[in-house]
Amino acid sequence: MLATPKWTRLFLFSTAVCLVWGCESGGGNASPTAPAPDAGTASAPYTGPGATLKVMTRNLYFGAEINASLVVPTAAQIPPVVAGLWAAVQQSDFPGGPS
Amino acid sequence: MGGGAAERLPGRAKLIVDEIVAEQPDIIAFQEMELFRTQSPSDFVPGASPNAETVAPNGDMLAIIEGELAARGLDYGEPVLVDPHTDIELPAVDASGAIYDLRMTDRNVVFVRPSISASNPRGQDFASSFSVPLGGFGSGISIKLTRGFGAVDLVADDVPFTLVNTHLEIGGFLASDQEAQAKNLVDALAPLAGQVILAGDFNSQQTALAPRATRPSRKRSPMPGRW
Repeated sequence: MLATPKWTRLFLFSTAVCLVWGCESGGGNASPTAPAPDAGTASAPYTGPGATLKVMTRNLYFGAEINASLVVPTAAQIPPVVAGLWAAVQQSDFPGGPS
Repeated sequence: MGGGAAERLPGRAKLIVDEIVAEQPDIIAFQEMELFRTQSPSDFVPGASPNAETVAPNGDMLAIIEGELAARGLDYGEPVLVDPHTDIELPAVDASGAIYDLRMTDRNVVFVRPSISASNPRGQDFASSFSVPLGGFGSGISIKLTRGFGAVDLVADDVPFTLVNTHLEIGGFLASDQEAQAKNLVDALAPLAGQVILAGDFNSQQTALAPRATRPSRKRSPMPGRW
């Protein structure tokens, strides 16, 4: 909504999350920067203490320029403007074709 | 409002899930995961609460993403947080000239892997919002664009933490609203005990000119100009 969407928004909070483990996992040999033997690769999911927890955040962008389109001087112009917004959303083709 | 070429890519649901396949995130925080609903014929009355309930074709972005995740065999289960904010409904006209109502509900959504337990999902609107009058003075028609944040308590391997997902207002002519929302968020997070992961679209550039409260500190995206 009224946003500058961010197509690529993959934020890796691994350092922060490792700090969670380092601070609260009871100490031991856990290190915020030392991954467990079975973790820490770019594609490996979280696998336990000391591992990296990966967070992805993404604005999906709903598909239309709402604030530019909603400047309508008369009430009669609202339905066509809204229809145009909805057409833009559909034309942005969020789902794409069949998988 | 932006919406550069990359954001407008057709089939971006599949491309996003491609990225999930490649990166295998443990937690996914989505913003702007809209739900579009219709009602025909229109019963629109200015100031009335939105009431359209028929999901428009391809109008549920959450269902589309869930379908893509399932098609790839990715197991994230049901979202642990579905956090609606703006909910607006306006009349629209179809190709035959008939008037129907179109409703848009803005949602921020969080998925986690099943190995991470979740509880206490909650959401809160920001005090600062943006209202747009439509149709000139005297029409009585306006829309209120409300943003906010959602939070959910998570536990991974007995370690508790809170995941917060938000979408702040744009900068530019709404920069004061954006900064007020950021301050609202910071104030809301302050009393939270324990560790917090804050994810979101802050609509902020990584520049010294960005309000300090909205300035991101995170890894640069491989896409130029994007954070």
